[in-house]
Amino acid sequence: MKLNKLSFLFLFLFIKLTSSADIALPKNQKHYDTKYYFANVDSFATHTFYVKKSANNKTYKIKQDAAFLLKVNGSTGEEKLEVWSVEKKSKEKSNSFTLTTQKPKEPVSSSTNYIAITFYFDKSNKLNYKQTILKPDCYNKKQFIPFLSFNNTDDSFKKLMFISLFSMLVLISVFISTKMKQRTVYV
Amino acid sequence: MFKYLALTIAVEVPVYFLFERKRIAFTILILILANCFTWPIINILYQTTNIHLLILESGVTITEAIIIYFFLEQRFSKALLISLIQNSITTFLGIWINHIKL
Repeated sequence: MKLNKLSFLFLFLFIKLTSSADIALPKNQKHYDTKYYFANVDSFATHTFYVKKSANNKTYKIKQDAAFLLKVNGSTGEEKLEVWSVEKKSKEKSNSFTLTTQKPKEPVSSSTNYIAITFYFDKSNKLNYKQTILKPDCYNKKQFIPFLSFNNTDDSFKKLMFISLFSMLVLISVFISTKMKQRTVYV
Repeated sequence: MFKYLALTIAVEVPVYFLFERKRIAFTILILILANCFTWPIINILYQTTNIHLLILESGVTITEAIIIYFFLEQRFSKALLISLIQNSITTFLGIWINHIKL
């Protein structure tokens, strides 16, 4: 009974002291590389759309279905896209908005997000956009749909796999040696 | 990262000894190995798939119960009870510490 109290006390103290715990780690919330598709550029015959990539500071004219990949770890750090439009007749430049890399979007199947951008002008004629998460090709009905899909092959995961496999092997060895000993005793 | 594994072991080992106190060194070894086997798997699956944490924890509970049954020679129902208590404590401790939303 005294031992029970002591072990509870030890447990409580340990938890309090470490206070930070088949304790699951918090979900990985880092951003993924993100590929943006511009889906309805041709719907605006009176406007031309432009995008400026932070990676090389270059400005591109957006064509229908153009795609831009933003990398989290690009040469200049996290990449961004600045998007705006110019009215063809008046040459008037609209407001701009910025697209950045994003956290993993469902369904998670690779380390890149695929997002379609649809432009629209609101009541005050401001350029705005809607984004649609695109499903990867593997979600086509015709193709094989995996039961599990892994999206992270970090070194830390390899270490975890190694620890797990090593422990499993040791457990199997202990089990076999215990059984061998028992057999020897019976003989 | 491995402090969570150490904490898991530190919580689960004393809980086992509330039920049984024989062959202490061997028991500690088996429980450490069991956790070193299941903890990485649950974390990899939790981080990389959309399987619910409680489903993963149920799998861990059954796996550890099987290990306790075979290695520490407990009746299966008792092994399952011990494993259920151990993993319930660590699961909810993990949810509390890491602010995991279920």
